[in-house]
Amino acid sequence: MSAPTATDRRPPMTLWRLERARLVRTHRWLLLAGVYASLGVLGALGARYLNEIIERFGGEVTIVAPEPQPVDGLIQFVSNGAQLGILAVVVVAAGALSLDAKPELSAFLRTKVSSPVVLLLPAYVVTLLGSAVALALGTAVTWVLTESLIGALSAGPVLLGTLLGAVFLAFALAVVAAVAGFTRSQTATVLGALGALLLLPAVGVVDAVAVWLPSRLATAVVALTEGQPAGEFLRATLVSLAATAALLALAARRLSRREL
Amino acid sequence: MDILGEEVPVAVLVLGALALLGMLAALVDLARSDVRQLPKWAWALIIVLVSFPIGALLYIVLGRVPRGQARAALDEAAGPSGGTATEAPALRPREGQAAAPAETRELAVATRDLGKAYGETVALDAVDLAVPRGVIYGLIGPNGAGKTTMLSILAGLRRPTSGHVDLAVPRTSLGVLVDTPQFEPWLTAWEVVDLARHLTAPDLPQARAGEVLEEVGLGEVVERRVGGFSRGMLQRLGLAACLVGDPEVLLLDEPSSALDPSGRREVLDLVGRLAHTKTVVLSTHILSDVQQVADVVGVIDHGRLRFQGPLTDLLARTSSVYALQVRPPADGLVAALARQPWVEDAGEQAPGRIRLVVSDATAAEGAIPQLLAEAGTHLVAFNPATDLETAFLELTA
Repeated sequence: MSAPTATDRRPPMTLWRLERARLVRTHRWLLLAGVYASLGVLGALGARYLNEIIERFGGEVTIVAPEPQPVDGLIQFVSNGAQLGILAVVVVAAGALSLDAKPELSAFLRTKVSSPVVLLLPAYVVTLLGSAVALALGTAVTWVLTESLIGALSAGPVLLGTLLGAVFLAFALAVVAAVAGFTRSQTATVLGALGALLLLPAVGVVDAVAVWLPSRLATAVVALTEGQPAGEFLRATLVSLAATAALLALAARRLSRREL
Repeated sequence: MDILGEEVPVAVLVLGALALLGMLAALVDLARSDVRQLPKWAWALIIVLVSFPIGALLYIVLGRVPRGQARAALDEAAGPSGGTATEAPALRPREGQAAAPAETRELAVATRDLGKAYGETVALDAVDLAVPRGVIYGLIGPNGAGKTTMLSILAGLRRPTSGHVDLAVPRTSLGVLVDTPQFEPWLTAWEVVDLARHLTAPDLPQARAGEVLEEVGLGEVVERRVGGFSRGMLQRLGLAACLVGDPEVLLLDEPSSALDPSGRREVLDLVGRLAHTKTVVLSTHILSDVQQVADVVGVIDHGRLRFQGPLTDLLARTSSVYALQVRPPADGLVAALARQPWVEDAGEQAPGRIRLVVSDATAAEGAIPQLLAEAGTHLVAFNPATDLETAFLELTA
């Protein structure tokens, strides 16, 4: 046997390392972190300097906006994050969770594991961790800038709100995984998942239903900071967790039954 | 620690256990202490939710036995023959279909009445494949004959519409090479092969990945990302990823189709070296490849197995066929040949290249010189056409 080389001393290549490499080497982490951090900066700056911006570009029209409040930075961040942030998360997740988008690539992995479900778990968990860290980064940026430019925010509601936002991301990724079980291409997965996620706010116009919807968690950080009791989000949290489990089970079932 | 076919670092497990203990301790402390910022129940929710995925992951990683592994464990417990194999039955010939090889060796791969239809299109029609253990089985057929469908079903990538597949080894012990292998372009060659090793044979040393890459001629590009690899290099890499787990049965779909002549030679040598130690099912439309390495051949056409048996048996079927090469034009000679009572068929396949099927070889060999002289045609070569291509064309015509 030949003498050990540098490659022989490396940690073994596992599916977890594969997914980490997918996130890092394809620079997808930059997309996630960049989008959320940018939204954080824009959220705080936008809230602080909204009056100045309106004055500068408003022309002869006089618009009087109220003095900015600390929660305004979060409102800006969350409203943008619910669109651009989720779009970035769905695109990145579709890249990792569309396991059969390239049949030859899929065949390489599928013929080496006892079940394709083994492939799904690392792809889901690593993408969720990346997305949740990006969300936390964006929230932290908003928080720090808001503290320095406008005023203090309560730590508890921000932390709990961010956590509930991460629960929503877990649900959104499970939606992507489930849609990928029905589609072949990454584009179809992105469009299908976005369609499903956009449906939630539409359903949410009915107040009685809205309190149960996972999408409610995406804006929880604002509501909690404004003083809304955390109990208001218990139902949405439970539904999100149950739906996440159900959607992942559906994705696993579809993957197991699909032919290449 | 190896769990669910994946290596989970001990540190992760320790951290998970600590996180759970931390959650319990925090909940106990929460019950006893005063709180600020949020009510007690909200802090309890935070504590539990933060810990939520850890408990779920620990269950999935530690507690759950996946179905595939449970089945494999049962198979292993069943006895030394193991696997999902059933005692291969004596396979019967069916009308229009080839019989199983006469040998009574134990079968590594067998199918019974295997059928596959894509809507109205029948890709495989009641195929009884019989691959004895330790042979190189050449599965040949024209494009669209059903070769790839057959290998995909054997590999578990597609399900048959009817019939059964009997494997002497668990499916995870198959080495599978698809016809156009692809890999994540941002992985290095070593990472691709080591991933395959880790997933199929984690007990083998990591040095195995480098050795196999060297064996397939990729020793110089071990650390290169595969995004820049040519199709031939990808095929070699696929072969390395297939071999690294030391599988008992290899399913190779067109393993040399993208290679240049020297690359083809190397791959065929490699496959030839596997003879008697591995069972190889080699699908190809390059007949000379099969002729060089295969012991047993199966000829598949329009989803039906036209012939199955030793290569020598297939070649023997063409002993009454000759290849006659003359200086063109050969029209007069072909017409003269067609009039002979011992000629069954005479056709000019290319200018000056005549394929001759005869009923009496002795009469043919005696009469042809005179026929050439009468036609005024110059002889270039006159050989018995006992090659696989001729046999194949006869079977699939």
